Amino acid sequence: MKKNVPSIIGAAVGLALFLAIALLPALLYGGYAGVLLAGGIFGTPVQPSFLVKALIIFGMVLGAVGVGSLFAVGGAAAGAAVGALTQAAAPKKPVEQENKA
Amino acid sequence: MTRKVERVGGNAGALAFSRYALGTQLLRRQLLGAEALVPELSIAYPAPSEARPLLPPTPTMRVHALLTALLLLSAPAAAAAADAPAAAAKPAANPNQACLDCHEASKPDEPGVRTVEFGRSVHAGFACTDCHAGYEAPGPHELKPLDAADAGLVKRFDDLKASPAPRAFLACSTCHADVAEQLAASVHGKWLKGEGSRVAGPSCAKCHGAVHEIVKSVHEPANAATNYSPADRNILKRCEACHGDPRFAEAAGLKRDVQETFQDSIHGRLIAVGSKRAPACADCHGVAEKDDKGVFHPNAHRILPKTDPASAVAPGNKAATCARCHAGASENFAALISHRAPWESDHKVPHLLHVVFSYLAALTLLFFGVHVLIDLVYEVRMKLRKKEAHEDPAEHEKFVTRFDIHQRVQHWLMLSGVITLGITGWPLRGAGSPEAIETSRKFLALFGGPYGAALVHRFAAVVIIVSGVYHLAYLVILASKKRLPMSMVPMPKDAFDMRDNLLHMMGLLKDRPRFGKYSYLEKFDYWAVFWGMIMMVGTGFVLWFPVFFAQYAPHWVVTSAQIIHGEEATLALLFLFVVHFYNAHLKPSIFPMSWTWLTGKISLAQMKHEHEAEYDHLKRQQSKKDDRPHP
Repeated sequence: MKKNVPSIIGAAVGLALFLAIALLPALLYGGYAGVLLAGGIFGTPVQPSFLVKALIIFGMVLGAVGVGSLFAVGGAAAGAAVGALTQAAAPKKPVEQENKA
Repeated sequence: MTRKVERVGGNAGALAFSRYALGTQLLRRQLLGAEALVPELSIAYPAPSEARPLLPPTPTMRVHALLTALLLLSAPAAAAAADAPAAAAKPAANPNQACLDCHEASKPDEPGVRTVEFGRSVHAGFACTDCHAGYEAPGPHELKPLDAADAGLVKRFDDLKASPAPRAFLACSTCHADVAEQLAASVHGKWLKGEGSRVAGPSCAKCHGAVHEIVKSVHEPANAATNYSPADRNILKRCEACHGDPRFAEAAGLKRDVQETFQDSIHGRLIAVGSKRAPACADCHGVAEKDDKGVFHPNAHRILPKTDPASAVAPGNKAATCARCHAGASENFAALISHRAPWESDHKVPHLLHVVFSYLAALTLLFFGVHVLIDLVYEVRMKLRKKEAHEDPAEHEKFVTRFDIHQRVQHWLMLSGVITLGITGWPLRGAGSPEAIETSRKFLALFGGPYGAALVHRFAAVVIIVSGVYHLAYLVILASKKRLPMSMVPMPKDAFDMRDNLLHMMGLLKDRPRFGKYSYLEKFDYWAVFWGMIMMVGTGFVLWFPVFFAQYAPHWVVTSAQIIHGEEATLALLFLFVVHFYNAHLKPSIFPMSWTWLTGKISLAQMKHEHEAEYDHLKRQQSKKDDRPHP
């Protein structure tokens, strides 16, 4: 097995978990961050102008990508840890067999 | 309010007065017998004005009354089987039964008394005639005449459409004369006295709900340091029913954004995510009173206008009010809370900082967001191309040390601290958005609620402080050995590198810039953390000990700290999780994870790809070493 396969599996699990439980909160928090930034730039109360909407959508995208990245990298690190543990626990192959492979 | 006291003795009669004097439990037994204390069996009927028209009972009503009577009579019978001697002393029938025959609500929307809800209410066990004094079953009844003062009050209720049960206020004040007096003297009592009010203010039923279904308020546990017990959390909903209604606020001439500004404040957010300690409306606006055990409670019936010197929010009393929860609070500290956004402070600096940090965060994220996008497209294009022929496969297996163990430990401390700070801090900030409150509440519950999360947040803050101190000590030691690396110092070349790299990735420049040990992206990461540490740790300390800092610094310093902490956190988290994670781990040539943060090593192939100038330097050093004659 290649060294990075466990971390790829971990990243995939992390992303699946993100889609299942964290996508909506990430969009909400990101959108709210956009609202706060829009309040500072365009003044409060925030009016639904094109630029404000664009900033809120930008915030939502960043929120989703940011939290998704956290899940992916966290999953990859967890996968790598599991891979390292299983590799350490597995019995070592004879040297000759390894060379043939 | 002597009128009410007289009424207790006059209108309601000696019966009510004696009950008030003897205590309700004793009276319940006297009037109703022991079985009346079983809540489900204790029935009352609504005030005459809110009851359905008093028509002769219909056949359906008779059948229903019969069934209900059978049910009620069967319960004491069952109890009698278990406790025969006690049952012998009980009256045979429930004294409310005669009233219930006509006034019980059989369906949820039907006018009348919902027996189950009444049984759960604080008045369960009372006889109907305890409140509806002077009426006798069976009906039909005529409304009892009122004296001039009471009639005037009821007319005001009717005129202002104050309550579906105008006489309920009179009935409540029979027993709760002291509370009625306090309410009449409060800012909420002006309308009761007809002092030019355009709208109806609060009455008993308006705040406490349906008169037959009033539940007991539960005070939250007292603060150990100040011996103050915050108000029932439900009071917030009661106040917001009027103060959060824009039409009502406009008609009454109230500030229209008090609900909004409170919900967005730290207190509002804490309550929204389930805090039992954060103050609700009455905790700041109500006069505090000591109970028999010496614990202070807010009195929501004694909310006075802030122009009244006795008001909890009068200029001279604000500090003492804040000190109910924040021991040692000063006037300067009290000036922080004022039902307005922090950047709308009366000082210019918070507003200026809000604007500057909003631009800084938005433009930084916009620039690096676009950078990530361009890099992603470039990387995908490169991935689709065939591998360059001159690439040496052996260089994928040869590694050189990029970060020593000290640097890695500093990074591990920093990353664990920052991620923990982000996941314990942002949910509270995000709770300012009504849509995100439920998510924040559930997420913070994982840490044992907002105070558990706050504790973890402070621990994580200590972790990143340790990381920062470790790093500075590391730099000092390196400097003392004259080994301080200068490769992280920003140079003019970095600006040109950034321009050329973007042009190259967009296909507008043939050659990619040759980066040294640290590219402009890595230098930005490093110095942004320096900046972020100063901003976040500095402002975090102010927010950790706000009472202390407010004693020595003007109030706008604490407000500014609040603004910077929130805005910088937004920028730092989005930058780290989007830009840094992409550059370090998620770009297609590295995905799913770089091992450098764990092993501290980088392959020669990766070094050649990302740090070509460093790679060439290494090769030159190696060839010099090889050229040297062996001894």
